[in-house]
Amino acid sequence: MQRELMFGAAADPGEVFAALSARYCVQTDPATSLRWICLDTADWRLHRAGMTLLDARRGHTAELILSAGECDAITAPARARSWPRRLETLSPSPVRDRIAHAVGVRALLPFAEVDVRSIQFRLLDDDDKTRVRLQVDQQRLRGANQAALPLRVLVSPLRGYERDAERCVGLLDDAMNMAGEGMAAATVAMTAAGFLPGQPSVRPPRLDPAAPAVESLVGVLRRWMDLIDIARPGVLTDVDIEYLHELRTAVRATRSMLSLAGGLLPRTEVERSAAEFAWLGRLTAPVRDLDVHLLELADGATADLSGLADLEPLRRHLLTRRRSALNALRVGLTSERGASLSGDWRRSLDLVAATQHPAPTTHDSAATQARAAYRRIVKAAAPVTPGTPADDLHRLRRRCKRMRYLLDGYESVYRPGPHREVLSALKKLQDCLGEIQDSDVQSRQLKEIAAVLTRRDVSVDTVLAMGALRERAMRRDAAARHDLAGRLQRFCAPSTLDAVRALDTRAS
Amino acid sequence: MRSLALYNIKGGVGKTTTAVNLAYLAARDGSRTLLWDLDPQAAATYMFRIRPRVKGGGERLIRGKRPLDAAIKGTDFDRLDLLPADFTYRNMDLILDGTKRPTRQLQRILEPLGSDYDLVILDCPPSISLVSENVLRAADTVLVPLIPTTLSMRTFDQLTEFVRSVSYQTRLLGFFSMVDRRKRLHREITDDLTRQRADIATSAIPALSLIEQMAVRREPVPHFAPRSLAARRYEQLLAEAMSEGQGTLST
Repeated sequence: MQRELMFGAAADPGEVFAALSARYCVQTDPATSLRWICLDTADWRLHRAGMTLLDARRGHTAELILSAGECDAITAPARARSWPRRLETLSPSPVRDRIAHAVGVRALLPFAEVDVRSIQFRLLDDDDKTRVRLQVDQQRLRGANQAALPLRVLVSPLRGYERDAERCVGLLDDAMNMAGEGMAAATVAMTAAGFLPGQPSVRPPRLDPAAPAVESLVGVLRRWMDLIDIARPGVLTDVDIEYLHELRTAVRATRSMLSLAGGLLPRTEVERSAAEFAWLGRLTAPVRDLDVHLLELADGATADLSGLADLEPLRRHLLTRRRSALNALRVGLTSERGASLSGDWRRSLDLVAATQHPAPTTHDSAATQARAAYRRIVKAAAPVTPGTPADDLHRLRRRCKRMRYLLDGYESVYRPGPHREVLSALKKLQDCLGEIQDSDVQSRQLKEIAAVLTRRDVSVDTVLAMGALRERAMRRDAAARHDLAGRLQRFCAPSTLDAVRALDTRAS
Repeated sequence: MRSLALYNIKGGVGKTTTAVNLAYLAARDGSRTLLWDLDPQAAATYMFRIRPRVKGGGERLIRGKRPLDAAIKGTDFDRLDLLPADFTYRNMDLILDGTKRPTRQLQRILEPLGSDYDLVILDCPPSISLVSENVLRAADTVLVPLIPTTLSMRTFDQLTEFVRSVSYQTRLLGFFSMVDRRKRLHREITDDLTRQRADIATSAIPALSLIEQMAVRREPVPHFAPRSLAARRYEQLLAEAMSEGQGTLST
């Protein structure tokens, strides 16, 4: 098996040559140069799936190299010369097929660009037979954090000569200062470029249960503002649709927290900020709704619709509307109001943080809020039946979301076991309510769009296909409503109530 | 995994040089290839600078006491491995004779390598023996190098008749080797028979000093002379050998 060794950035191939010459006749090939770019999605989907994707460029040729675990790397010509890119813009290839599931709708972004000067070494025995092959890579990170990276030595044993490879590693270890083994070059490069593969772009704050609740609330709100700021450029450039989803999630979380714990903050500030975030939520809603529609159309599940080809006019209509909605969103985000939201909010939070807030503690506040949020859901759930109107269920769903953001924001101060239990029951309920709402929205919008398209003389086949799509949404709605009673029962069960009470770290 | 064997009763007809060159070309073109040097003279092993020694000898391999893959050595070339010759292979007939189903042993011990290799090439010793019967049973295609003479053709026909008589599924494909086009007989036999017979490959390997240099340089011809006539002919021969054409029956 190939071994990947790293030595200090100051090490050079000459040292490798000298270390091995003591025992072997070392033959070298002329050095070659290449540049590789490490690609992944913004949320590290490839890394989390155990894959490394490189765009390797040598002269005028470029190829995508995908490695995953112990399997042999697979390659494909890389015709794309610039990143980021969405998957559908790459030429069809085995590499694209292999990463498609993991990448999903996210774009591939360049995380680190490295220049490599590579020399092949062959260690020969007395018969001039190759016993071990080595590749010695001098690497240099390009870009803002440009720096020499560790010298990388790949030791490839030949079958039947594994001992020579071990001896070779031993010789190098003795003569040179090995920085480590098994560190993937891509990971090393991305880390040097300032990224932590696999880690969220903004880590949840570690809250002190004994600290004043306001202090923790400010920490939680700052994190969500960080997430909004990180997602904002991706929304503006429309790199992929998940940036908007992330931005909206953080906006909703902020609004929920202001609603639940806003009493801890100055009232005027809460009212002003709540209005700003509500505006941002409304601004972003149309594009997201259209994204959900388009995803539904692109989803493989849609394949069971016999009239899929007939839905093309619908898809074009949705894309046109999306372009227009995206323009409006961009105007809003780059307007004075949109541009100043983050700065104003951060200044407000700084002012709040700078003042003294002795009580209540984070611990008290988090526990009280969780119980209150739970009670509100149970109260709203009491009159629910399978026939409850969608708008009423939407109100219940919003209460669930508020509790979810609370559990996410204060996760570090809740007891882990009960937290998992409550979260599990809540997620199942949310999924069910989400399905009902999405189906309802889709069903209503399809009816509206059908009216618009009919005026434009679309074919009867298209209208019928849209009818089939709407019928499918209604079936999903019915199925979710059928499940709802069970999910509510579990969430409102005494065991979940006990778990909510047990979130409090002081509970016995 | 496909299997290809180089076999002729006679020695010195180009079996080993062909086996080495075809193995190199198959690996170069992307196939994971294993060359098994079954000849105790160990010429193929020598060409790849590998020591002609198998721990425990041929008997342990045949009797399954040592797995085949433990004896395999990597060559200097990507995707090309060699199972070296060993001097004990001279007793291979006796070893095979002492087993149950003595003509099926090579087929049996090669089977586990199916997932490791796309192609296995067997370089056989010159003889008629249990080893050759094993090879004729194990190989999908048996390539038979023929010096363009009447007697060579007679031997090939005898071999064809034997394979037919024992109902082996192998495909026999003769090819002319060491062809000296300055000789009229070589020219006539080569031109006529490659046209007339479906079981003779159209690519013929010329008698060239370049091919003889292999033993001095200890490298396959297409590696040190990739654009040479010899390299091109070996490429054509490999393509014919790997094609699914049926050439077992004489016309």
